[in-house]
Amino acid sequence: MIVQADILKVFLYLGAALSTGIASLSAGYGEGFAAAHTARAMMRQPNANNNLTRTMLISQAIVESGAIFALVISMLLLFGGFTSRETDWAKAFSLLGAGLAIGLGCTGPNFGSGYSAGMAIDGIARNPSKSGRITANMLIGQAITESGTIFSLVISLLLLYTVPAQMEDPTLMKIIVKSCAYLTAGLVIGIGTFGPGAGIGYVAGKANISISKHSKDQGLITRTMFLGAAVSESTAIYALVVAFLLIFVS
Amino acid sequence: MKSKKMSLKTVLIVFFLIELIIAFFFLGSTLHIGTNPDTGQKIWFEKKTETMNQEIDFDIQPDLYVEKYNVEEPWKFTYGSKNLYDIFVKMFGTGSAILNFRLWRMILYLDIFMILLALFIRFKSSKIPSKIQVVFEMVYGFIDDLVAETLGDNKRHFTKFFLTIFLFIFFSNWSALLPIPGISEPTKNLNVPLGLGFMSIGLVHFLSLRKKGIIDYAKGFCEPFFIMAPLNIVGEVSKVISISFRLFGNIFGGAIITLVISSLTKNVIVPIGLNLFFTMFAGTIQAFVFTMLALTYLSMEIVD
Repeated sequence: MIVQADILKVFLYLGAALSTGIASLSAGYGEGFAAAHTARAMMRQPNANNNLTRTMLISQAIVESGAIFALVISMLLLFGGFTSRETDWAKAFSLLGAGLAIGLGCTGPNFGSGYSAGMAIDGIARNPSKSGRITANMLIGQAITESGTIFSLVISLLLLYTVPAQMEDPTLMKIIVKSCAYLTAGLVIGIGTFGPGAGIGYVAGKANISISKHSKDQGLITRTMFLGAAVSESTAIYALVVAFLLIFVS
Repeated sequence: MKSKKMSLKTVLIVFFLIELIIAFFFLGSTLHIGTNPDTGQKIWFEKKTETMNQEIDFDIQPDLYVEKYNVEEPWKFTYGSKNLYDIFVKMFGTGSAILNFRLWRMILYLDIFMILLALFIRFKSSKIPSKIQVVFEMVYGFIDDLVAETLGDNKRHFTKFFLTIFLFIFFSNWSALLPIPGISEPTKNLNVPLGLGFMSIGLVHFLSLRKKGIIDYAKGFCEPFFIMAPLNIVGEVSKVISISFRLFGNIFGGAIITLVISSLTKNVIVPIGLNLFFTMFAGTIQAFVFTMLALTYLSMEIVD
């Protein structure tokens, strides 16, 4: 059940293209959202433009890290030397699954952290004297928004490097089952992190606005944000558990 | 304000020039520091013979690399002595010994650097502060304010822990700026971020256990129902995964992208911009994010 080298290349190129393509779609939207809110905020507070530009750049760097993960997986698929060994169909599908996992997986988190960044910039425009606190809260919020992306990255790396190139005692049925399991492991983490990512981004954005209004209660707001984020994140953790089961116990 | 901007510009221009010199004069070759096993020189330049694919293979799977290319003397990759390498082989096996050797050496360098820096600042500090003292007082004050704001005024003794974590991650991320083979960021190796993550989350659980008592601590896992306990435990483990893979993914990703794009462009100018973004900007932000997350996870458990 060895895949021909040319057909393996089809899987690699498809995985690489899908991962960076889908990831850039959402990362571009998120960064654009932050930039648009910065432009509007500058009209409101022209004196705080230094603060606003700095916050925009920092937040865009965090939003972009999802796309950077996807770019890395693409680079590894293209240049990581997967064509040099003989692989069977299950490994070929796992390579495609790795691309799909990170590509789909950072969609929701990127939208979410873009929203959080935009709201933080609105908050700074409203209350420029508290920009330090709002930026710190924005960073925490974006970091927990991104945990969905991180789970997808973990699954992608597992699919790339823990799946053996050739199965021991392969039969036709076993290879079909394994191929399906690896592909769906990528899909489950990709689709499963969409909602939690966008949801936590919403929580973080509203928390940023609240801090600009009531900056004295920052500790309480941050802790409530964490609690809400932990509950929304639980569905992403279910997806992670299912993906682990599909990779290791199928 | 004006002088501040000028100094930043000067730093950027100097960095740019140094990178330009390295990029043009030593095109495709690298600076080695150590002892050359063939000639006995201490510092020498060598033409790069590895292709990009080989470098990526070597970074990720040294075991397979040694096997695939039939490397006869793998200890030369460690830029260290053969005897030490043999001890490492006994501990870890052939291929992983190279990465472990490099990692241990880098961590040792960083530790020595940080201890010397701390001693230097401690004994050079005076009432009329020098420039370097002002910088470190600012960093200390910044982290101290964060700790006091998040944990409360009576918990300022945690500052030392978080300051150490921040400075360690910061210096290890910035060590990628030295263009010397064998010197790579310790955070690029998954073991270091995982260790830091386990340390931070372990501290959170230890302090929470000490504060709440064992019964209340165990009850915390059974929310909202008793049957949810396994998923809550998975949730706690996922905290470690997300905090450490965030750091690892960013630094490792930056290293791979820099490697691939600079070999596609034959190392001309482009690596400067990539280093500016991935090492200096993203490295600093990720060090700060790691510290903030560890701090906030701690505040969730020990603040009433």
